[in-house]
Parts: sequence; structure tokens; C-alpha cells
Amino acid sequence: MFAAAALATILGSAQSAMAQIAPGPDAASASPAAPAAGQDSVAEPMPDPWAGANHTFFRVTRSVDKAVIAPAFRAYNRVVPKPVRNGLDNAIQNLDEPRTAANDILQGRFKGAGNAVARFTINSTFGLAGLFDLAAKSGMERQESDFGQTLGRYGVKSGPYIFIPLAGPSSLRDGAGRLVDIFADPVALLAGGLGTVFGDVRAGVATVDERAGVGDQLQLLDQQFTDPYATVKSVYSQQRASAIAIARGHSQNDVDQLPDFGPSPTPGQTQPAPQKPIGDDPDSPKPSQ
Amino acid sequence: MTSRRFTRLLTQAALAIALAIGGTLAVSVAAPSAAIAQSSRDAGAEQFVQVQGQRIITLLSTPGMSPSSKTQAFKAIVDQIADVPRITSFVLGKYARSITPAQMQRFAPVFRAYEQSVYETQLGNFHGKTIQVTGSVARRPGDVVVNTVISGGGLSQPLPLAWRVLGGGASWKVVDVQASGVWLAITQQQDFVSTIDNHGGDIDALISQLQQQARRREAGRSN
Repeated sequence: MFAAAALATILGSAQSAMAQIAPGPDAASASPAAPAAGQDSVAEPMPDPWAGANHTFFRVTRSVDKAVIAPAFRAYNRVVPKPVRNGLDNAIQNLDEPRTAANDILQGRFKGAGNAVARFTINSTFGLAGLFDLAAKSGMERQESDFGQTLGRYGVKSGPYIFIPLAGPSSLRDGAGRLVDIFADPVALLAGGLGTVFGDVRAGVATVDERAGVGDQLQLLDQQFTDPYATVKSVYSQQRASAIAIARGHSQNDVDQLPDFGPSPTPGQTQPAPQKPIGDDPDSPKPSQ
Repeated sequence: MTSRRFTRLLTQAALAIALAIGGTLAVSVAAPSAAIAQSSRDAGAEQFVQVQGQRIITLLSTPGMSPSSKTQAFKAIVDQIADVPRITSFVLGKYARSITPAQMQRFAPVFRAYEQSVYETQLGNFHGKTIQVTGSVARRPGDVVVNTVISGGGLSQPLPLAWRVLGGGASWKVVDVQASGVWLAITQQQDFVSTIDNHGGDIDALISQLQQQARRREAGRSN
């Protein structure tokens, strides 16, 4: 799954940004004050023992994207009018609401589940099969939940970071969670999963839709960051940590996870001359390279 | 065909059971947790973000302003409200300890220009009009995450944006901003540390890369 939200947001197109944040305060919270070693944390990227393979997949993905996929999507965005693209985006996201509801229930977030069910009902009917997101206009905003997040909520660690070729950043836990989401998806179970016409069309449209949302971000990474690979890993790790914090009942941020900012540099100096470790939390494992 | 139907039935049953178990489990954990209140809010920090955040959003969404005067005005605000020296050492992570004063003298200005451009682009892309503080959580006294929502303008849905501010009383400074679960300074730290790591711990490699990017930005602007 291309972390459309991840890339899109960090680089500014805030389109899919709100999906994750602003959940209700209904979530169950049994979280410890600080995450244990290896738990998702915004302060440390996921462990990356397969960095060699991941780097290769990342490089290949960016090359293919630059040569073939990005130009194709520039053409798609030129040819297909925005209202049509938005409608497709809404419709495809609408089909994910039952999955979100199921995961919200598993996470103990009943208000979130209620929101997803209400959105699905309203948008599938009055919103013409989900083409229009009428529910959002009545203040019921879209929030996504997935099974990787559900596992994380109950303490399952991310496991190794994985960059899936042509798909995007993931982890062992989140990749497995994704498989569960695909095969136990309520919509797929009722209307047909992969291998059925409905399921195949849905998967095809979803792929196009997600890639269209990413735009040229994958190429633009070079302009705003110095190590695109590390940046994508960082963004993905933080988003997952945030999603799991939300599933555990933190309204938006698990502030205990945040790294310290260190002492203020000597006043009056234009440049800091730090003598103490800054930004390194001695309690956390060091990031792998 | 029959076997597929059977598998589907089985999956449905499994899901139903999982949901039931999950539901019960969740209810049992949810009950005691309701009593745990979130950490305290900080009215001073909220006030600071409400006023200064609105200044930034208003500036960036002002139509008809030349890009260079907008950049100039934005720079003035950043100087006032952000703790640039603190951010500068934070983004170096473990290398903040080993950087030499000479290297720091070269790093600080190039990072300042880089930071300016990144923040201007990121915040400018939100195209919002108004900012509304929705709450705050103090990590400890003087270290507060203020939650806001940006809306209006070109935004079809309100966009949550969190600000990390350090200080106290009426004097606060921004050190980090978060959208969609991603903190900018934390991302920069992991980005920069990885770049230095990849060059065997050579901080100069990062400095020259940032200088190159600055030259490309300049070239792009004059074109």
C-alpha cells in the first residue's frame, strides 16, 4: 500500500492528512507511560535489519516511478477531471469503511466504529454509492483503521521495516495486517474479493486512486530532504506510532514518546554549541542505519 | 465452487468470533481507563499558538504578495517565534555532540535557510485561512504540545496541526510542527543523521548537500 498519506502530507498536499487524526476520545487506554523497547515510537524509526534489500527495492521503485508511473499519472490527472477523480476516491474509500468499523471494534473504539458505520450508510445511499462524501459535510470525518494498527494497539511490535517494491513502506506486522484486512474485509466477503469481477475492479481502481494521490512526491523528496530512503522510513514509522497511539486512546499524540529537545543553547549565541547529548533518548534503542 | 463458498463461510464465522472476542476484551479494558485523565493543558502555550499560528496562516494565505516579500516577512516571524538554535542542534541528533564549532558555523546558516524554505512550503501548501486551538498536553511544565485545526481557504476539510512549544508564562518558542502523525524536526533529525551515517560520520557531507540544495532553490527561483 503506497503510504499516500505519508508522502503527500509531509510534502504538503494535505489531501489525505486528516484521515488519521482527530478520533474520538472513546478509545480504550491501557497504554503504559512510555513505549517499551521495540514498540512503535515517533522518536525512533522502525528496526531495519533488511536495509540492503529495502534500499534496492526503494531505488528500483523510484526509477520505475520516474520513468513510467509518474508520467502516466500526470497524464491521468490531466485527462480525468478533478470531480471525477474525487468521486472515484470517495467511492473507493467508502468501501473501506466496514473494514475500519471492524478494526475499531477490535480496538475498543466504539465511537469510531459508529462513525464508520454511519458514514458508510449515509454515503452508500444518499452519497450515490459513495461518490459523494456527504457524511463529512455533516461533521462525520473519515478515519481509517487497519489490522496492523489493531495488532499494535495490543502490543504487537512492528517487526522489521519492509519497503515493498512498487507499493511502498510497510513492516512485518503491518504487511501481515494488510493481508488480514484484504481477506477478512467485510465488503469483499459480501460482494466479492480478488478473483471476482467486483473485487478485481475495486483493487484496480484503488491502486490507481492511491497512486494518483501521491503525485510527484516520490520525485520531490530530493528537494526537501537529504536521504529520501531514511525520510520515507521516518515518516512511515511516525505515522504508525501515531495511529497506534490513537488506537490506545491518546487524542492525537502520545506526548511521552516525544524525544527531548535538550537544553537551550547559550543565550546570545547565533549558533548553538551543544555539549550534551541532544535528541538522543538514552532509554531508547539507537536507530539502525 | 462449493469449497470457495465454504471458505468464505468459515472466514465470516472467524471474523464474527474475532469481533465478539475483541468487543468483550475491549469493553473490559475500556472501563477502568476512562478514569485516566489526559495531562494538564497549558493556557499560556495555547494562547501563544493561537496568536502566532494565525499570524503565519494569514501571511501565507495573503493574495497578491510577491514571493520574495512573503519570504522576507515569514523569515521575520520565524526569527521571533521559533527557537532556531535549539532546532539546529536537535536535528543533528547524536552528531550534535561531535560537531566542531567551525562546522557549526557553516551548518547553522545553511540549515536556517533550509528550514525557512521547508516551513514556508509545508505550511503554505495547507492553503488554510484560520487556525483554532483545540487543546494542549503538557509533557512537563514548559514543554507543551498544542493541538490546532486549520480550516477555510482551499481546505475542503479541516486539517489538524500540532505545535510543540517550549517556554513558560508569556514567553514561548516553537520547536516542531506535526501534520498527519509526522513531526517535521523529528523527520529532519532522522534524515540528517542517516545522511551523516551514510558518509561514515562526516558532518561536512550533510553541510555540502544542504548547500547544494540551497543553490538549486536559488536557481529555481531566479528562473
